[in-house]
Order: sequence, then C-alpha cells, then structure tokens
Amino acid sequence: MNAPTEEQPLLDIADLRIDLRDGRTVLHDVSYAVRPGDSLGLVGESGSGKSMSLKAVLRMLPAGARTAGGISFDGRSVTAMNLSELRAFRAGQVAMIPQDPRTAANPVRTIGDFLTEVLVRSRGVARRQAAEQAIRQLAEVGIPDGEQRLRQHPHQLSGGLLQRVMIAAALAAEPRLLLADEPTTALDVTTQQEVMAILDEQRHRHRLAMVLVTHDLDLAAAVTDRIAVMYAGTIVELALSEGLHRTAQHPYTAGLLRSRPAVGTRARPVSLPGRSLSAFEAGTGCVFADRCAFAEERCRSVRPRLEAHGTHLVACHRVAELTAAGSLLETTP
Amino acid sequence: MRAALRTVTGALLTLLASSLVIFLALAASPGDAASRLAGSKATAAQIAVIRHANGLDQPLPLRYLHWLKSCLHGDFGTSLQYQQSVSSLLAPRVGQTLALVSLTALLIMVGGLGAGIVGALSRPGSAALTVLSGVGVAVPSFVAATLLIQVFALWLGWLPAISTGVGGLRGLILPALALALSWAAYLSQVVRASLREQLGQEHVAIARSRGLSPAGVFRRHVLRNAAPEITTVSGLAVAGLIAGTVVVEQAFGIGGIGSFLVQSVAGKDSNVVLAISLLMVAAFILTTTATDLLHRALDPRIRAAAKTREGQAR
Amino acid sequence: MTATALTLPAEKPGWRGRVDILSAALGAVMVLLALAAVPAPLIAPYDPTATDILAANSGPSPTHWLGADDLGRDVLSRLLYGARLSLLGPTLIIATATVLGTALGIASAWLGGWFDAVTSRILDFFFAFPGLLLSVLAVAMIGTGFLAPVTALALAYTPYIARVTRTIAVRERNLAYVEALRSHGLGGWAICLRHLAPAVWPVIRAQSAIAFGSALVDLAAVSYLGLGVQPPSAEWGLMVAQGQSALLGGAPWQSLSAGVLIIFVVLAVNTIGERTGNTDTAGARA
Repeated sequence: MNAPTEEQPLLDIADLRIDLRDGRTVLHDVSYAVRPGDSLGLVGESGSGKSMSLKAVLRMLPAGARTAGGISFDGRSVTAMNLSELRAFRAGQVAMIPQDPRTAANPVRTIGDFLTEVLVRSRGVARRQAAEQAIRQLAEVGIPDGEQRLRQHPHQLSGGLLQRVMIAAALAAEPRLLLADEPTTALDVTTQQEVMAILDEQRHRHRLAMVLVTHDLDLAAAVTDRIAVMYAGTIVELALSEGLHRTAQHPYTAGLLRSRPAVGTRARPVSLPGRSLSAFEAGTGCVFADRCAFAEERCRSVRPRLEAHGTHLVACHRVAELTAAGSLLETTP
Repeated sequence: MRAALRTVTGALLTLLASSLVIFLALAASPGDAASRLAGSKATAAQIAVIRHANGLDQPLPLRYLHWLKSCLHGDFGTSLQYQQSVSSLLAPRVGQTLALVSLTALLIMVGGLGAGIVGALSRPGSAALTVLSGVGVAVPSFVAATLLIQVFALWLGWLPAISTGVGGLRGLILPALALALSWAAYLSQVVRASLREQLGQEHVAIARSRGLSPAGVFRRHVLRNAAPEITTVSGLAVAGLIAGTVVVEQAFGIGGIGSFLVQSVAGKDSNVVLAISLLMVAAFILTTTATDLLHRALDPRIRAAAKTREGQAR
Repeated sequence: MTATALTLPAEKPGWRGRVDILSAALGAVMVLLALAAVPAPLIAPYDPTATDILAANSGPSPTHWLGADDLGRDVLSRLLYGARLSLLGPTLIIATATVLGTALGIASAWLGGWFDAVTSRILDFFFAFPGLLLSVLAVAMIGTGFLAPVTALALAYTPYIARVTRTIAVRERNLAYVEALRSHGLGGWAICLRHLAPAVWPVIRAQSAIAFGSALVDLAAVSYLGLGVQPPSAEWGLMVAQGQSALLGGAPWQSLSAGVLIIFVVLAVNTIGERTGNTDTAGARA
C-alpha cells in the first residue's frame, strides 16, 4: 500500500466489491490497509459507499449482498470465518461507534446493560465486575457519575452523553480496531468537537487502530493519519492527512476542498456541479468523469486505476498534467 | 406511580358506573320479580309481603345502593328460577368458566406467540401464517366448535362432543380450541408485525455487530422490545374471552357462568343476569387494567413520559 | 382503558395505486350475495319454511343442493333467505356506528375541552362492555329478537370508530392548512364536513369493513345462543345452532354450510378492509 512498512497491516482490504441482492454494485475496486494503532479516514458524499465498507468488515451487509475480494484482519480472512469465529471477532477484536447513538441503544434496556452486555454474555465476566469496569470506562470518557448512569435508560441521556457511552462501550471490549461511522453527524455542533476529542484521546491512549467514516474532510484530516477519498463506490485518492488540503491531486478531492465553507476567508465556497453518483450509476470510464471539469475522451471510456503519484495514490488519467499546471487548487486559500 | 394510581381509580369508577347501568337496564326489564318469587299461586297480599321483604317497594336509587352493598358482601340476592341464593348457584359454575378461560388463554399465548415468531423469522412460515391466520381470524367460535366437533369428536372420535359430565381437562380441550382459534390467529399477526418492526431497528443490528449470539439478540432485544405490544394484545384477547365463554359453553354444554347467563336471560331471572353481568364486566375491567399496568411496567419510555408529565403538573 | 383500535396489522406493501384484483373480486362476490338476498323468493329453489319430512336430514342431492335440515327444509333456500337478516343486521350496526362514531370523533377533535373529555369518558365506559355481553343485557331488557342485539352492537362499535376518527382528526386539525382555512373565515362546520371528514374517511372505511365482519359474528352469536332472531326465521347463526343436533346425528350439512358461509363473508370483508386500508394509507403518505 502507501508508505512501505515492515509491520503487517491489522486490517487489509483488497479489491473489495459488493453487489446488492438486486444486482446493484455499491462498492468496487476498494483496497486499503490499516496498521495497528494507525487511523484512516474514509471521506465522501452520501452514497459513495464509505459506510458499506465498514459494514463489510463486520459482515453486517444487507441480506443477499455478495462480497468479492479480500477482507483480512490480523492475517485472518474475515469472509472465511465461521459463525462462532465471527462472533468472537465482533465481540473482541473490533468495535463500532454508531452514527446516531439514540437509535443504537435498546430503548427499553439500561445504559448499564448496554455497557456490560458483551462482557457478561460473550466473555463470561461476572456481572458486578463488568459493572465496575463500566463505571471506570464512563469516567474515562468524562462521565463521572457512572454508578447512577448505569441505571438510566437511553432516552434519559442527551445525544452527546449517549455517544460518550457508545465510546465507553466500544472500549469496554478492549478491541484492536475501532470502526466509527460518522460518529458526530447526529450531534449538536458544540458537542461534536467534545465527542471527537474524547474519541481521539481514547484511541491514542489505548493505541487502537481506527477507520473513521465521515463526509467532513477537515474533521478527517484533524484526527486521522491518512485519508481515502471515495466517490461512487471506489477510492479516487489516498494520501497522508497532513497537508492534504494543499496537495490534493484528484479533481474530486480538490472539488471537495473548494466546496467547504471556511471561517475567516473571503473566498466563496464553490459547489461541485451535478449530483453525486452511486457506484451502479457510473459508466465504464472514470467514475467522476461526468462532473469533472478536466474530463477528456479517454476519461469517459477507460477507467483509471489507483496508482502512485508522488506520495499519493490517485485514480486519474490526467493527474500528471493537472498537478504540473497547478490549477487544481487555485481557489483554495 | 401516580399514573398507575390514576389507572386503577379510573377502572374502579368505570366498574361503579357499569354496575349502575347494568342495574338500571334490568330494573327497566319487563316482569315483576316479587310475583315470580311468590310463585304462581300467591295472592296479591302475599306478593306485597314478599315485595316488601325484598325491598322491591323502595325507590330505585335506594334499591341500587342496597343491591350494591349486598354485592360487596358477596350476596347477589335470590334466583327467581331456582328460589336459591345466587351465590350458591354461581359458586360451582365460576370454577368451570375459570378453567375454560385459563386453558384458552394458555392456548392463545402459546399458539399466537409461537406462530408469530415463526412467521417473523422464516419466509415460508410467514407465507403460511398470512393465509392461516387470515382464515383463522374469520372463524367465529361457534363455527369453530361445529367444525371441531365434526372432525375430532365424530370422525376421529378422539374427544367428546359434549362436555357435560366429562370431568377434567378432556372435556375442555375442544371448547378451548374453538374459543382460542380466532384470538390466537389475531395475536400471531400482531406478534409477527411487532417482531418484524423490532428486527428492523438499528439497535438490533448494533447488538449483532457486537458479537452477541443470535438467540440472545432475539430474546433480549427483539422479543423484549415487542413485549409491551404483545402484552397489550394478549390482555385484550383474554378480556375478550370472558364474554366469549358464553357462546362456547353453550355450544359444548359446559355448566359455567356463561351458559347460566343465557339460561337466565331466557328464564328472565334478573338477579342471576345482574350478578353474572357484573362479574363479567369486573373481570373484563380487571384484565384490561392489569394489562395497562403491565404495559407501563414493561416500557420505560412510558414510565418516563408519565413522570415528566407529573413533574410539569406540579 | 387500553386504547387499541380494531386494526389488523398491515402486511403487504406494494399495492399502492393499483387496483387490487382480489379485493375487487371479493367485493363483487359480496355484492352478488347481497343481490341474491333481496330477491331471495325469486332465486331460492324452495320456500324456506316448507317442510319435506321425507328429505329430513338428507345430504346434498339434485333436489336439495345443500341437503335439508331436521324438518326437511331446503338448506340452500334457507341460506339465501338467511342472508337478508345476517347481512342486514351488521349493515345497520356498522352504518349507525360509523355515522355516530365519525360525528363524535370529529366533534371531539374539533371542539376539544369538556366536550372531548366527557365524550372520551363515555366511550371508555362502553369499552368496558364486550359487545356480546351488551347484546345479552339488551335482550334481557327488551326481549329476544332482532332489535335488541342490533341496538346494543351499534352502541358497542361506536367507540372503536370514534377513537380512530378522533386520533386522525386531531392530527389533521393541527396541520397548517386548517389554520389557513380558518384565517380565510371558513366556519367550523364547513371545515369539519368538507375537510376533516374526507381526511378521516379512507381509514374509517377500512375500519368499518373489518368491524362489519366482527359485528356479523357477534350478531350471529346472539342468534346462535337463541337470544336473537327466533325460529322459524332463517338466519345463519341460528342455522348453525339448529343444525347442531343433526350434526351429532351424522347430518352436518346445515351447520357446516351456514358456518362456512359466515367464515367466507368475514374473510372477504376483512381482506377488502385490510387491502383498501393499506392502499389508501400508503397513497396518502406517498
């Protein structure tokens, strides 16, 4: 993959392709790897397939979906696991942080039940011990009155508080990989930063690998090591987060950067023309060709592969000309 | 707590109002109780004496209060047909009806819940349930009784067609099945719809993604969350059974309070009709109230909503 | 009391907008049945009270298609004549309950306040009486026959319709367009009749169809108990009861054919109710 390394990746996804029951393709030619302790941001608009790849890792795809390609975790193929191995993998190796914490916890069960369920039911930890651990975990994510919280029900907590509970629950299983699916979109703007800070802090403290799915390029850049920009079910650019806003090479990444509003600058955000496509709507050529200002004939007929260009991996026929001309990011500050 | 108290108070008030309506309805019915009590050969003077002895010459409100007071003491007056105290006539029959209701309730719960779960989890099971429950709901208990008698009593000869004189459970199986059929079919539809709704919830997918066993997820997150709705409909079913016993007891010749009610209406035995109607309405109200309270206990969101409402009221 | 509407769980999506063939077919059969009931004297092969002792308890034959009862009366003829009372009864019950229930429900939703409170209390109260028990009480009060159970059941079914109506009407009343109509000076009567009633109607129609089946069963049950229509009148519930001794004697035709007819009619109206209810609510949401 990207930077050469001796260390074996924890999560390795190779040429992943997902077709739904009705035959529609939602993900294709997706490859990425995450090393232990490393973090990757999957950035794209809705429908770009970014959440699907997380679901595929957990084998939680909708009924009838077909998966092709490899998903391996710590050298073991996730797709080849039998059901009990899969359960153990879900319970102990990965943890998901959901998009909307309010729909993620069972409304008729207590917070305590949610926090201790995996420990008690899948790992056989004693109830009291699990509860004590849950209280400690809550304290770690900034909830001091854990003992009382354990007895409350989800609807009695605010969204921000509930998302901290989700983080605590994810940590409780002592996983090695966190899968965070837009963990802050359902929250108030003020709580978003708080929750993200806690997530980032905990991830570093426990040295967890993380895949963060978000539509917010700036957020991803702030908390991840690398970013994969997705469009229409595939990755169009993969690069280090650091400085991506200056070095973007794919026209779509550049477009995303230009379309975000920025405080303190006078440049108006420029929205991308056209609407975002899903994987099954893309033709045979480059998935972004329809909306790309630089598309030529070959872009519409031949699909570019994700290839190294400088330190980036980019899927664009014209990447060399465009970066040389320096015209891609001219309107960004 | 306060909401629960309000529910119970409401139920008691409804029961009180029901007793008044039942009493007035029968007071307005034709026929003179005193002359029936006195017998056909009685003179006008004798009838007057009996009328006075039974308080039938008093104004209606006083008679109602008097009747209500005796009811609370378990005294429902004298049967006009049997010249015997109503309580002594009811005592052996209540047991029969309770046995029938209990067995039927059990069949409804087991059948409705079982079929509903199969329907929610399996595709062919669901298709079968759609047809079977659709037909089942449409079968009235007295038609079911006819069909069951034809098949199990006459063709197969497994069970008795008439329950009179048949002791124990054997005589109650066909009646209970006849009474349970449409309610079980209805419950199975509700259970399936409710479970399907819960299965589609985000938190169920999350629970699965956390590596919990499928059986555990189903029990702790799907069935548990459908429980309030299932409880409510089951409660309604049991409440509905209470009046339904009238028909089935008649069909199978069971000597319970249901068939006794029909017999007493036909015989214009108003004291017995009063007593049985009151018992049935009381049982109905008791069941629906208990269901209400159970529903409340099972759903923390309702408890919370009630609490905030109380908080605002203060 | 527990507020549960008389709804069957909605199952099949995807019928929206299209004409439902099954509903249409069942509806057509129901109409035919009702049409056959009115001119029964012209269609029925026999006089429903004509006895033929030689044919008593006989099974289906070319002369008596569905056999004859214990007095030798033709079962088919009695079923056709019986359809008059068996279908007229629930029609009266549901028509009354629908008109009364819709009016009460809309009035409660529109007026609110004490009217709503009092109406709700009274409806709650009637909920505490199972329809069958109310019918039996009515019979005890005014005697056996057609009138007592029909009146009682009309009262028993009114709360179901009223509750559903009230819920929908309250929701509708709170929508912005009603506020707009009011600001244009439209009166309460006009809004209730021209806007709330049509909004409520699709759901009420489906509810009424399903309630029709229940009412038919309840009414037939009263006759079955011997407390409703009296012999020698022909009525389906009564026929099931009268056939029962013959059934035990090995001649099940009367009981079974009347019973199956009841099941068919209830099944038909339930199906129509569920399906039209589904298409309408789906259409309203889309």
